[in-house]
Amino acid sequence: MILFSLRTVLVRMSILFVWLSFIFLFLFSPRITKVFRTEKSIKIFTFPTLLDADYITAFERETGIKLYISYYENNDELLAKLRRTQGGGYDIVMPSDYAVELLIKEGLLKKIDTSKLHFFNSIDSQFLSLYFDPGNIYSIPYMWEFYTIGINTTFFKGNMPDFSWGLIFDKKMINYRVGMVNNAREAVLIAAYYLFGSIDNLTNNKIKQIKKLLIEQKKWVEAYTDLRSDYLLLSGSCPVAVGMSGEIWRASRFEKKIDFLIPQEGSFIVLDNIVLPKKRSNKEDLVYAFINYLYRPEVQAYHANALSLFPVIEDISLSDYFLNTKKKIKKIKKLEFFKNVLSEKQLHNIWITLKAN
Amino acid sequence: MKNSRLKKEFIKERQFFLASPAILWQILFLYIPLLFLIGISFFRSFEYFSIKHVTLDNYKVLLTLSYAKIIGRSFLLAFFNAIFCFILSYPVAYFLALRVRRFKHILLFFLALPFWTNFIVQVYAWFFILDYHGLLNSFFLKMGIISQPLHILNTPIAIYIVMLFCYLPFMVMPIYTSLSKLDTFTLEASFDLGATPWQTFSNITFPLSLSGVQTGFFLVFIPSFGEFVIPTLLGGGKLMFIGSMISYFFLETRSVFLGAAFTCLSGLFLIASALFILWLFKKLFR
Amino acid sequence: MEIRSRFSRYLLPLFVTLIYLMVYAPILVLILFSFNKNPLSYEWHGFTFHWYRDLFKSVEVFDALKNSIIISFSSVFLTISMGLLYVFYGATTLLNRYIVFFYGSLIMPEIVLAVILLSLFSFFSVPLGITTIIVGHTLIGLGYVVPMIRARYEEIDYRLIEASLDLGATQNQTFFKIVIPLLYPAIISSALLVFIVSFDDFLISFFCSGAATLTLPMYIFSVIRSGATPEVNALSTILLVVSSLVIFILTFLKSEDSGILR
Repeated sequence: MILFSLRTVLVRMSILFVWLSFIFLFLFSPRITKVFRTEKSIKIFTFPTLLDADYITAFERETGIKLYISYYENNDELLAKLRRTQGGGYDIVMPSDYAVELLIKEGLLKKIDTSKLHFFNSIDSQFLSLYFDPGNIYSIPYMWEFYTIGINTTFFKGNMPDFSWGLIFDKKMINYRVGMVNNAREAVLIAAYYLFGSIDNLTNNKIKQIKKLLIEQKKWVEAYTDLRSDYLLLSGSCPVAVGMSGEIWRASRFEKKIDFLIPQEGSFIVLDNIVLPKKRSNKEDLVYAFINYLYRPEVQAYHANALSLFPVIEDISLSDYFLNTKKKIKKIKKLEFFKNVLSEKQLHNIWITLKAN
Repeated sequence: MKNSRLKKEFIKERQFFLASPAILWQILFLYIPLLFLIGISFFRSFEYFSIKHVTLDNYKVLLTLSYAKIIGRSFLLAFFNAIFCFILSYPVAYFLALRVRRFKHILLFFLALPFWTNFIVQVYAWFFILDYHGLLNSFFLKMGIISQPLHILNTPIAIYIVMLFCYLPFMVMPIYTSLSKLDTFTLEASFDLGATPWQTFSNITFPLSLSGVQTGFFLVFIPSFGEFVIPTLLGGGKLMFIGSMISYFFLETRSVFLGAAFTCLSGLFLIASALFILWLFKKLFR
Repeated sequence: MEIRSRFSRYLLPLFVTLIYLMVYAPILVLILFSFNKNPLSYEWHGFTFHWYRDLFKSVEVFDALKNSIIISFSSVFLTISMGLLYVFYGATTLLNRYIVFFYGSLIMPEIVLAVILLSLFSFFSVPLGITTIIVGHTLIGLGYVVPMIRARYEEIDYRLIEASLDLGATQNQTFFKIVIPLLYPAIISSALLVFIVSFDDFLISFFCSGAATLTLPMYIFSVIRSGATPEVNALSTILLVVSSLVIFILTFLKSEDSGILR
């Protein structure tokens, strides 16, 4: 062991300190350059099927505000990211209803000034003041979709089965493969709905039954997916797939033999919202300008028709799809939200057991 | 006199100044975070990164059947992937090193090429082959070998197949390198002394290439153990492997400490299996 | 004289050809389908260039590409400069002994690296984004570059460096005028290697990117997960062509390099 003189040690320590400060500066440079950035831009965090990125470049041309859009695959990813960055990083986030509830609880959102929103009065009142944000202090509803079961009619050869969740859960009926949702919360609540007809009061015993059902279902699951249920149906891999109305409708538009049905017991609705994460920002005007743009009738109509989403604004010119679907919806009993009735720990346990086996 | 001694010291310290960033980088961004991860795996708290108390709870939670299955499944994937890669790579490496004269460089180039293309692109390309209406099924159907399309995608078979072909170059290269260092005179001498081709192979060629085989085995085994992309894209979301589990912990839940503990546990298991395989090699071939 | 059994004369080449085919079949099909008119399923509907046109109009792709290029070039710059400085200036100091430290990043599965970096950055509230991805890629790059340049450096006849120093050049002059030119092939091939590793890297970018930072592999991954159109095939084809060119240059340089030393 070579012993260094005190002077050498000191010199070397200061050299290392110099390098460390360079590295430190490098790592934190985004914070510093943010102060100097003069570009007008906003960062949006959204689900892949909520915004048409190419269409809204019209906003950039009109106002000169650049849009940076990034996507999350499911709300859990969104929650994790926002928690990790403590609300920073994005200017606008578009989570689903149950995520908004959690975000509000954790204090990650900023209040929305509804007076700045020109369109607020034309929002359909049945979408305001819902369970996750009474009074709409932190969020405004954007568009909604519901969960359906898409089926390949040629597989059933005219013997159309009952419109029920049994199509994916009832082992006596099933001799085919299904596509299932890849989200713990949604899968568990759908199973709860099938078994008990309601998502309230899920006791430990009920949870055990749900777990058992999901594990049993895995045997005939082709794939768990959030966004590819349309592909599963179109490629012929499975004749039955659970998915969101927008996707499945797009599949049926592409291929006539795909139809979608709404289970007679009822189904789930997902309402997507616009929220503002909590962080110091001087971009308020830009953000509200964008939100106002997004809710213009023609922009809403375009998104609704192109992406098959249901708008919350009244008086939008909609295509036949909506009129036909609305008729179908009237026939079902009810649409439920995916409420946060189970803790993350419980969901995590069920999900791990399901995926590990 | 004093001047030149100071100058020498200055030069020495300047050397340290210029050479230290590289080491500093490694320590700062590899070893310290590693220790950090091991450290936080012992913390248990319910706030993101605020520490409540030190405990072994995380590990207790992890020692259940489900997690053991995940780790075991990843081990089997890595192990069998390496074995299958070996079975397919050795003939290729042998052929390139000892049987080809003229086109060696071109063939090597073509073998290395997929390795350098984007990994994700490679995996995506396999969708077109393995899909229900993909190339493989269409081919077999046309040939009349099967009457119903095979269900390959979204099963473990798809994962094994794609892992095999994506990791093939990693195994071929080291084996090729060690085989190409082989002195052909030794082989010729062996034939002259009356050995059959198989005897030459098993007694001379193969043992001499063993270091390459070992390198290749580890080059495939270790990354396969933590593979994330291939099981996620091709497994249909039905199976969790270590890679997808770690990703799930860190990106979709808030149990970061549990995730750290899981990573450490998997790391320990990886080291243990690596040592086991080293021992296996020694036992079988020395 | 070699005895070639029937095995090695017929079966072996056949087997090897089969393997090569199976390695390349997916890529060829991918390229083929980038011209497929059908956007959703894997059946051939007709020939078209319009996915390529869509690709060039896509703002997201260009943003991702821009990010990837910035990150890759920065990583290469940092890796090569730090690596070269370490190999030369560290040669005669204690730091030389610590070269083992650089093997660490090669031994660990990349997901572990990604996760420990993420933990470090989150704990110190480092803003995640391009800078953090560069840090990760440089880390991996050093693991490749330092051993490679070190190996080539040891092969240089030390007398050349000694001579230069004896003839009055300072250490710096020796470094710039003698050592670097002698190391050119190694520098260029390791730079290309780091560039490709960084450009293609997915895991570190996936974990260490913050808000709104997408690299090209991340973009492709998210598109595959959320429903891919042949636009991704078009992008992949272009990437394949570019990588092939780069590798071709690398192989060409490598064969030239071994020619120089002979």
